[in-house]
Amino acid sequence: MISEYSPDERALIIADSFSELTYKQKKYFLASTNLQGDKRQKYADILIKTLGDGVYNKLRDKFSDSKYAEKVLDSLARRAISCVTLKSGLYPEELKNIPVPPLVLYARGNVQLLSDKKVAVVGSRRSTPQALEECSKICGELTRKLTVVTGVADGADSAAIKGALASGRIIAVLPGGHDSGCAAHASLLAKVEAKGLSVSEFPPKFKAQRYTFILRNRIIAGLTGGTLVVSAAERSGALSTASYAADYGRDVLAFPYSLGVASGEGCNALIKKGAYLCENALDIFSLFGLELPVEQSPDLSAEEAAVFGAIRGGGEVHASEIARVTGKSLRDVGAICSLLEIKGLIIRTGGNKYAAV
Amino acid sequence: MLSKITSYALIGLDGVPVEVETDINKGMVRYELVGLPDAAVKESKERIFSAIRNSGMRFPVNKITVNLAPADIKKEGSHYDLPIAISILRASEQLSANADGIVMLGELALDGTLRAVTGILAVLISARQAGYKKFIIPSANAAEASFIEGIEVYAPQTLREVCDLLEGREKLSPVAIRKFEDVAEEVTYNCDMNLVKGQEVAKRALEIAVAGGHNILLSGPPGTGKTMLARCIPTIMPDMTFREALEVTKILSVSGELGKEGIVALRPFRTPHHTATTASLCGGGHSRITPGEISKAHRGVLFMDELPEYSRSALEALRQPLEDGVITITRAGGAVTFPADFMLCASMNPCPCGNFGSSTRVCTCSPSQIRKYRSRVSGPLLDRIDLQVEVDDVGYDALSSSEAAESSAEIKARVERARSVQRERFREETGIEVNADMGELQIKKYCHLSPECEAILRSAFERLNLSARARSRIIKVARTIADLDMSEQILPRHVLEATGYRNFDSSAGRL
Repeated sequence: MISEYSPDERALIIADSFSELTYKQKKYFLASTNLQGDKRQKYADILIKTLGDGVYNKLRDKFSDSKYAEKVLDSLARRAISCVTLKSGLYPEELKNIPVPPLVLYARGNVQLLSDKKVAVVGSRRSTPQALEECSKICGELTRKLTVVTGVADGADSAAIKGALASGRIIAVLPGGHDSGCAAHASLLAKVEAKGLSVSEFPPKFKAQRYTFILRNRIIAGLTGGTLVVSAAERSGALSTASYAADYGRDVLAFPYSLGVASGEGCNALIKKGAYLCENALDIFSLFGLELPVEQSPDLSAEEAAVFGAIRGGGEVHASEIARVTGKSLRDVGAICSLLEIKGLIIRTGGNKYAAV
Repeated sequence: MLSKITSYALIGLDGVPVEVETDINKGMVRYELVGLPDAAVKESKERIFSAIRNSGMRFPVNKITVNLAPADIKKEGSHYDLPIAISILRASEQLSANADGIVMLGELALDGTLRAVTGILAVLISARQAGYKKFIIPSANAAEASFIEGIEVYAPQTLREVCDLLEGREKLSPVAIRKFEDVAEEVTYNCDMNLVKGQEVAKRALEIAVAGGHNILLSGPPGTGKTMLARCIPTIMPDMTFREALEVTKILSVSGELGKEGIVALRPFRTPHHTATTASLCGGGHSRITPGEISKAHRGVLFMDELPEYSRSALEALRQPLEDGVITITRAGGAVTFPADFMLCASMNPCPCGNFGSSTRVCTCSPSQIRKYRSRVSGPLLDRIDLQVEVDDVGYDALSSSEAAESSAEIKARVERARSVQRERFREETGIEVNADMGELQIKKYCHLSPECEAILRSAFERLNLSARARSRIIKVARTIADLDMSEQILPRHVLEATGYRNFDSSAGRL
């Protein structure tokens, strides 16, 4: 938690608290308070022209009012929110390089994570159980070397958080201010903030709007060296994150999907356009130039291996199909599948079907 | 002159003797009926009047007072017609025979015929306990009475015949005793497990559920045969004993749903619609408390299709009877206890649109919709459902249709074997008959887990993010699977298989 801000940082925080100003106007406003002579007047004139004399002067008064500043900083401190401003040493370099970097990042949790190497993991709310399990698993492995950045939503985002949470190397980027945290994910978000970090470019009271989800996606892409899309339908928010990442010159990766899976069409389209195909954490580590000790294959008995082989062979496989292929009774298949599930090698995908992960 | 005839009142399933006293005196012509009669009893006057006249006898033109004692119990139903009529005939000295110690029940038609009444069996059983030996009931109820030994039941067809019988003018032989076993052999269920193609996983789960007396939840897309599977449950349950059959018959007799057979030899299968109210499920009614669906499913199966569609209060009301096997209904007039020892089989779609997990159709529900749909079934209720299993998508029918399916009889043989193991185990425990009845104490005592099993359970919890309450459910089911396997010890494969039947916990967690 940062309690001391330099005068420059304070100025940024105060200016950012003016909800009546747009991003550009905030920049002009800061310029009009910072610069000297003509330039200063130039920006002031623009603001007066667009906002009107009264509003501008009021804001100027507010800006120099130390009581107002105290109030703003107090309310942030009360919420345990630290501000990482554009002028702060903690502000991630990657994010500075995007066209419209947030002036202030409102952060709650372990702000040191911002200076880690980061990878974004995004996907759609409606994903296959297999993709979700795979997403959790890969995020768990990624955290050995990287910090995972994602949003807060059902489906892929939640799966990513669950996978990365144990290590604490997780950053969740919110679509609105911290106060407007969605009730459905309150407990998940609380866990993230306890071990990892949540950030937002909006002051606490700002409510998430439709368009802010897209703005948020630019931060997810901007914060990270690469973006992994675990699931995306033809039209999906995850694709906007991917396109931001591509615009910023970051790597884009996607899970491959078999034909006809609606929640994977977007991913396949990305790969077609040149995104990296990602099957496991190693694909990401190699892209980031990281090395990882090779994991040994799990220890399986002969019959476990047979069942596992049958499941790996066919995507989603029904229990009676496994029984047929392996020649075992359905009961044995059920027991072995439970064991493989406990070992984390397979998952149930519904309707008594299993898939390898 | 004064006359007394014995009849019976029903409170819940228990009978209370009622004295029908009639006094005929000189005075203004009047007919007075006292002793808390309800509307049906009050109306009996008109029926009795016509029945006596049409039977060739005289309705006295005097001051008639009929008292139903004890006077503080509400008298309901139409079965007081016969005792009141006989009592009037005796008081008016048209009938001289002694009717002491004979319990009479029956409704009169205007022409003097006796009509069937409800609850005969319950009355006979409690009256026999109270020491009554002789009964006169309508002939339409004779079948019901034919299974009770040690009593003499006469079933005449008309009021005239009753009088002749009492006077000894006509010899009527008592209702012949029938053997329950003979009746039980004749009736069969009209479905069989071998008619259900595929669905091996669900069938196995049903076998375990029945063997251990566990409740079960079937989840699967619409049209996959959940109802068909559920209908087959009674066919693999052990045959009803005579004692059980009497319990069931008593309930149906009281609620007037007894068929011609006179006894219920097949395990009941009740399917209340999801618009059912709490009172219709649990029993109730404002003056006369009658059994609800859960009592009518006693010793059988209560099938609740589309579980989340039931009203919240109806579902919550099931919790206590599921635990205790009885339901006590309290009304201002008093409390009545009905047995309600049933196996719950519930079914539901996996999501509002029904296609979640389907390989052929696309689910259009958002995760939050699915969560909301599933949360309609509360945790405490799910706690009492030990097995949660998925029913296959129909597409798999083709895949396994060539396999010869097992018949219900084969499965039943295994179930009965497992049940006998459990009877032996719980011989000294009171109130525990099957594995599902075990509490934490008995689980400790009878379900010893080897370190290996413990390790499996522990990793299952960490990996599959099971709730703490799922633990005892899995252990109980593992015990039943071991019993089916005739294994004294719970082995790792039993625990593993049991872990597979907790679908609801895990897939809900992954949304």
